[in-house]
Amino acid sequence: MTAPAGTLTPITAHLSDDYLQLVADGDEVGATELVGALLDDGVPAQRIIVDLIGGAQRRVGELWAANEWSVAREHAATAVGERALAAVAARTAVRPRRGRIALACVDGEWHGLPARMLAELLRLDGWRVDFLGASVPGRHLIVHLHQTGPDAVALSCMLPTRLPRAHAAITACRAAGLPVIAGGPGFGPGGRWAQRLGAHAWAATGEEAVTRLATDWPPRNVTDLPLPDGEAFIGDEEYTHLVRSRPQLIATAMDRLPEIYPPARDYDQAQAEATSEDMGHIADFLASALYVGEPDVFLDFITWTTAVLGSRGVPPTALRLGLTLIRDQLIDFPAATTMLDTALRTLPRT
Amino acid sequence: MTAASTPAIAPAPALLTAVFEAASEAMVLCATADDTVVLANEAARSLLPGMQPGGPVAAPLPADGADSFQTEHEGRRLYGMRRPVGDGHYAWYLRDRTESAALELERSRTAFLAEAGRRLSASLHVRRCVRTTVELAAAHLADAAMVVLPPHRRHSEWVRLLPGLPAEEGTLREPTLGEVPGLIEALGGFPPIPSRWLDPAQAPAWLVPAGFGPVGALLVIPLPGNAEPAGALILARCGPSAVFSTEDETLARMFAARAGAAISAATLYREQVDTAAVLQADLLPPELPQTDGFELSGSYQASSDALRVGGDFYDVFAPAGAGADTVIALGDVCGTGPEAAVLTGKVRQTLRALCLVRTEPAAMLTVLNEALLQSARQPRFVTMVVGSVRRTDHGRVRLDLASGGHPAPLVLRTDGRVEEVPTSGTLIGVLPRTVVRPATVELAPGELCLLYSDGLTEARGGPSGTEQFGEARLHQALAECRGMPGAATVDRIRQLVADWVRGGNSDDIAMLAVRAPSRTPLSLRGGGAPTPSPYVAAARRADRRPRNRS
Repeated sequence: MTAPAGTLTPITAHLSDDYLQLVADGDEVGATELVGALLDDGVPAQRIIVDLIGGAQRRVGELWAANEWSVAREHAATAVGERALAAVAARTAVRPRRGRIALACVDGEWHGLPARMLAELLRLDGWRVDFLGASVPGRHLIVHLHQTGPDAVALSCMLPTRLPRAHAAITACRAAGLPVIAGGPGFGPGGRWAQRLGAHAWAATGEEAVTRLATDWPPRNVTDLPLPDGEAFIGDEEYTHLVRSRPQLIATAMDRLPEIYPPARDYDQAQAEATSEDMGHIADFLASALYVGEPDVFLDFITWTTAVLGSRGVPPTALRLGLTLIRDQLIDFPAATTMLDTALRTLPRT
Repeated sequence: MTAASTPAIAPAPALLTAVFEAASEAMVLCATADDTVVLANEAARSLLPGMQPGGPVAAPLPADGADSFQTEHEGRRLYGMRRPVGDGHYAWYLRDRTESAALELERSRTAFLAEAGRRLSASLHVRRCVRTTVELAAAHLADAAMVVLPPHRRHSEWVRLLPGLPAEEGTLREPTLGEVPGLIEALGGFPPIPSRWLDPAQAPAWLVPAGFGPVGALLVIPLPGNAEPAGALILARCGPSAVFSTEDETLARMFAARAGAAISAATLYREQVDTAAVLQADLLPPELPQTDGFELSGSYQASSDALRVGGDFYDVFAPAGAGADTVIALGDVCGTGPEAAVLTGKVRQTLRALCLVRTEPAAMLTVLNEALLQSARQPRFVTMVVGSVRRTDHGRVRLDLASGGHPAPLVLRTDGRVEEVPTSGTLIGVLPRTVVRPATVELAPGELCLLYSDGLTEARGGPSGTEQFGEARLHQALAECRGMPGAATVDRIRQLVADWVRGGNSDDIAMLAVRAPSRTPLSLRGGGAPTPSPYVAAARRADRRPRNRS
């Protein structure tokens, strides 16, 4: 793992490899001792968080996607990352000199470590941070806002399927008169969808968020800011239909699967469940794409899934069948069928 | 159709003059050469009584050659436009805009009050409401605005906005409040004193610091609240000739009514929240203690969106003296919401007392059953698992578990097998006699015992949206957590169930895991570790370097 170009970091590739080894072993004690030693040596806490802990976390994600690591191992590694981060936090005290900010992962978003890293970076930059955790229900977030009166809200979303709920949270924050900074790849390349959903700012990385929040933020009077163009068109009827008929859509697809794919007749329960879970993912990403009116939400998912399935030895045929089964049930929905057809065209031929 | 040529007619000058005179628009015909008035019709004379034919073109008509003007004249708002007419003459066309100007003013006030209502209603937080109040007041009503809240323990909080500065906050001692004319009265709920009776010269220096010019006019208005004032709004206009007109004062009072309502609602909300927080504190899941020899991890999710407490609970009681075991408990009171939560508090308190007398888990359930039967106002039952935990030799952990009508705890073995702990018993708090069959479990290093509530297995969702998560899926999920730390295991299961219900409303869910730590970091990757970096080596050395080394 090399440092990003142009950044002078004391976190060498060698050090990163050692840390990844500790994370891979689930060696909590070793990992916390390592970050402790680095802090003792005067390495800035920000570099440890971003380059060491964050860098390893990216590698963990890649290893999982490449099927080199199991889900369990990925979780164990993340747990070690959280402990290492907590160790950095415990060793660095910063007097708050900026405002107060509430930081939460969108409802249903369970990837909490990136947000937790941002919480620490903001704290190191002088913010008073309330980190509400992973998957924060909208109601909890709003209750917190009314009870603590922060100056701004930061929302993290790693997967675009959470966008409808992110939109609900952003809208509620706006109604409470609070500016929202959105973060995470769930909001699309360059944060395109964040703006569409009404967020006031977007940051790709934790460090970007810190920079963005340090300059001219939060805006003084949020209720007067205009809503973005097209906000009114969000969540069209195809989205509503798709969400409401999701159970039926999946059940029908599963019923028809053995007709067009005979091996499915011999699926055991685990295989059948995994397949219907995959159908569910197709439906969810399609719904999100319809919600924000961005076919790319769906097409990016297809590209990503093809790669993940590929590394697990699953041929694109399986995905093709799934898409076709869903498509055939959505004949009357032009936007959805267009997205599915485009997706089918992008699948590699076998 | 071709038009016939218009017959050339030349009306008599008297006729033209009469038409000019009868027009409803005010017109003044002037000679360019010497800027004298040639003709002024009746409408013009009524607006400008001094304007007579033969006289000079005088104020309010501009003499600087401007093409239009807008001015106040004798209490009217006049608008004029100049047009050349032929050679040597020009005409002024005048309009009386007095009424439309008043309408415009009224409109801007209505818009201001609407904006104030919208922004003030956005938050239920006192500090934010107060900030919004000074921001609105400073933008629309005065140069500087300050809100002073009623004194609490002899101190008053304030927020102030001065021109060109961000909002400032602070507190004042109660005696200093008397230095601002009219402030004591406003905070006492008396009607506002008209601005002209307040001497701005008496305003203390701390109110508007020097550098913002002398305060020319001061207005102190109560912010009406719930039976008592929510605070006071101080408005200041700078400059020697500044005043607050009667209209200004009326508008400020209308604004103060809205701001006061918002601040007092927020105050009421804060009081309720503070009370609820105190009452809830003992019902929240406990901080898990650091224990020697085993890991404890818990997770709690209340079904209710707004509440953080519910009918499920878990608790951990530290050993009552040397040689005693740590006691763990996880249970489910029938029902959800605050009523159920209150009963969980009673159950937890009873268990705490029972721990002190060092009772076996099974006996604890029997005593608890009697206590509940005697105390319950209405029949409410509890299902629960109680266990005592101690570490034994070679990093092993021993649990004595007793269940009262609760789902059996699960044990995850090192080889990935998932076993149910064979303990069972009757519900607690229903029957006068309980039957409890305790069981003992030994955990080898890396093994884990999970206590959970049925909200977990009964969570409905999945592809059909109505299927229960079920025990088979829980077993499967737990088996996949082999080798994971306890906290990660609990998080993973919680996440799987949340994904299963996909945001749907579910029951309360509680989990508590006890894990015997793996003895040595188990290399999941296999193979020898590469040469460790100097940092790892240093971190592993017993003689750690002192922290102050730079």
